[in-house]
Amino acid sequence: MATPLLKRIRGATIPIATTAELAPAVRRTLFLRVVLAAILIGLVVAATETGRSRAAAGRGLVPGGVGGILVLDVSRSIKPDANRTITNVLQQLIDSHTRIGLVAFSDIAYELLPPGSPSAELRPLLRYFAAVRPKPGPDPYPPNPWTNSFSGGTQISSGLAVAHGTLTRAGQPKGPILLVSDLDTAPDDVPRVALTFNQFKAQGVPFRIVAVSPRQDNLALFQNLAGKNAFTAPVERTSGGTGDTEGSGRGHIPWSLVAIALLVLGALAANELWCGRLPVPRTQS
Amino acid sequence: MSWRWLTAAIAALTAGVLLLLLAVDVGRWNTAFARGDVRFKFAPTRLDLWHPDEVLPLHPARRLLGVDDDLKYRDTLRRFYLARPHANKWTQTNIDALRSEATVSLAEYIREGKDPRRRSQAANLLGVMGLGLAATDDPGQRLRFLLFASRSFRGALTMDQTNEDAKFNLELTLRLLRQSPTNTGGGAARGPGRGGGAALSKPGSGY
Repeated sequence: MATPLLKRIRGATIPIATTAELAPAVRRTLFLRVVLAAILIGLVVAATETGRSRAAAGRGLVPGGVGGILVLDVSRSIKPDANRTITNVLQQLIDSHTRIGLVAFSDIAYELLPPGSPSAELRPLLRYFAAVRPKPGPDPYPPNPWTNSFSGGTQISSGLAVAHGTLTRAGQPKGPILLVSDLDTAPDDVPRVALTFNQFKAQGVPFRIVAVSPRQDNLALFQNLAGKNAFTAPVERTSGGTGDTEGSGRGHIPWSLVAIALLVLGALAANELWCGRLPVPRTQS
Repeated sequence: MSWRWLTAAIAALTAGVLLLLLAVDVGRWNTAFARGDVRFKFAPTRLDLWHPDEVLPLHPARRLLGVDDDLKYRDTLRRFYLARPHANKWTQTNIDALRSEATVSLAEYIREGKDPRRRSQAANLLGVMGLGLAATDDPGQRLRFLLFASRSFRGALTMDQTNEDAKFNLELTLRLLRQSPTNTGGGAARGPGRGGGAALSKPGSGY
């Protein structure tokens, strides 16, 4: 039963007296097939991972893609060399032409922009985070509006709480929250941050964190509290153009994915060339 | 012997070896919990508790046995133990971080755990963490953590009404809330005399 069916599937064959002479070719073909199969599986896995990471990057900074609120750390612990990352985040949000709110915080937090504001309204903030050369003297960097009145100590939980309260008042209790901070919060604030993250997770509030030059111990602590998935990819400018940041992934040809796809095609072609069945014309009978 | 037979023999041998290694891993998991439980008593800070050396990659034995919930439960309890909720926070430098991690771990188990009794236990321990964090001089923070603790104990009782520890702790928390000055509103634990738990209700009207 099975043999005629197999023959019908295989098609016409050439009757020969012995297959012993074909044994080396069979072994070589088997070896090639195994090697090519391994290469193909590896390439497909690589393509899947590359596509997945690009998709994750394509989601943008704000979880959910649109709306939400930006929670910006303006405490003294933010080093001037971290300003580039903050600038890139702001620029990326401006270029996304989305609507977003803004909460600035240090030891206390306040609402700078209500939820739903055009992201272009973030542009005036860029000057405060522009890269400047330090001047000699006791205060090497130019002052910003928060230098004297708003930098007592970092309370990240207060920023998160004000942001969530603002979103709730705006009728978006599950609006996304983007925290931009060096994660150097006060020790007594850590439990409150943990409770806040717990609350967000329980209520389904999406949140994401951009860590700005964090200390390793702070980063590890927040990864334990918020989960590693809450952190965005490094936000870095990849060219001189405005808003052209790694993490957005918009407007770029995915060269790595293209290269892997071409390699998959090449491996498939090699498989057909070296391991394909010989075409034998069917007999008329 | 033909190539077909040779291939079949190699495949069967490979499958046999894999099954043998799987059996070895299953056996190791069988003893891992008992060994880990004993080791936990003497060295709770060890990171390799309840984790046997598996031979096969990708943990097929663990998946087959379905022990993830047991592992998560033990790890959560270990974090709670290391957080030392009754200890003075000034005796250890990173105790706030440990307590925060324990809080997150307990909340995660409450959300994702499968056994309602264990989830109730975790909620009770989460409330205990809240009580520990309420030991602060800041009246606002004290009230916040007490309310958090009372919510956790109520949650524990929702999951398992026979949880006597949660009942006791809820009663204690409501008493503390009664003594605590408050200016916030809302909910059963919103202020003095408004709780509906075992301690503050009239006899015969509790759970």
